[in-house]
Order: sequence, then C-alpha cells, then structure tokens
Amino acid sequence: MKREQFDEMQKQHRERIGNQSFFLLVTLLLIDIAADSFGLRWLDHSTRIFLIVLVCSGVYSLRVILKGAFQAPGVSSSSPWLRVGSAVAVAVIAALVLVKFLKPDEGTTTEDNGSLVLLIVSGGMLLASVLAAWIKKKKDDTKED
Amino acid sequence: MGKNLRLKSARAARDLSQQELADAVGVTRQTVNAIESGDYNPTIRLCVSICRILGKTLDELFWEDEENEKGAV
Repeated sequence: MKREQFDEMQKQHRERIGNQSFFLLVTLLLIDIAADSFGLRWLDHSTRIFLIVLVCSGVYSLRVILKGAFQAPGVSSSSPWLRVGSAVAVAVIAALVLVKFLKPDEGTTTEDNGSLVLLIVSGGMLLASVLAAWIKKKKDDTKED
Repeated sequence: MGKNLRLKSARAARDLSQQELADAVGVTRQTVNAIESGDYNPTIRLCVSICRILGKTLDELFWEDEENEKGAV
C-alpha cells in the first residue's frame, strides 16, 4: 500500500498542532494531579486520565481537520469516512464482545459513572470531528479560486 | 507577507485552476491558495516546482522588491 505523503504545509501544521496538543495533555495531567492532591476527585482516577487523553486527541483531530491537514493530497475523499466507519465498527464489535464474553463480576460493580462519561465524551468528539470535516469541505468547495 | 498576485496571474495565464496546479506540484489546493494569499511561505523546493510548471523563474514569481511589494498590497 502506498504511504500517504502530506505536503509541506500540512506537515508543518500537523507538527505544530501535535506539539501544542502534547503540551495541553501534560498541562491537564499536571492540573489533575494537583487537584487530586488537594482532594478534588471529580471522577475515578483511571477514567480521569483516559478522559484527558481523549479530550487532547479530540482537540488534535479537530484542529488538524480544520487546518486541512488530515488528508494527504491525491487521496480519494471517501477513504477517511471509510476509516472512521471501520474504526467505529471495530469499537462497537469490541464492546459487544467484552460485554457478552467478559462480563464483569457483579461483586465489583460500583456506582461509578466513568464509562458513561467516556462514552458521551468520545461520541461528542467523533460528532464534532465529523461536523468539522463537513464544514471544512463545504467551505473549501465554495471558496473562490 | 502580501498576496502573491504574480503567481495568481501566471497560473491564470496558463489557464490552470488552483487544484490543477496543486495536483501538478503534489500539494493540496489549500496550500496553493495559502501561497497566493500570502498566508504561507513555501520552501525553495516547492517554489521551484511551481516555477517549472508555470514556465517562470523564481525571480518572476517570488522575488520581493519594492515595486512588487506595492503591487501586492
């Protein structure tokens, strides 16, 4: 399979946004640690970490899409949708398999709503990314040559 | 950095759209648009590719002197 080649402007955008997102991730993790040490525990520890990573990767994806650096030149426009669709399908299948075959022990069930928060946030991020891609495409199509 | 109107007119003279020029040099249309708008400063490699496609020299398309700066505003 031919490797995607981003052009120089796309590479610059991706690198800059990647660096900024990494610093955002580190900053949020440090704030979380500080908040935790002051007794502010708004969610379960592992859920908080996962949520922060999810938010930062969502911000990265959104900004890359809005800068037009998500897709390499010459790649057919249907392939990102195919990739997103297949990723969602794999996630759903994995979730079903986990629930069906690796059912958690009822004794370990808690009142923790972390999974619901993660589901809502990841769904929101996915929806925002799709919306951003659609808006960007519309804007590019109508932009004067 | 002002708009690069010389690039835009050279492209129009060749009857090329931004997309066609972008495809010819292997970049996205957004990159060509950003160069013409003065929002992106291309590398020398990309400048040379564009010049080759449009049949112009680097001077003609990318050299900025007082006269060209005035024209770009």
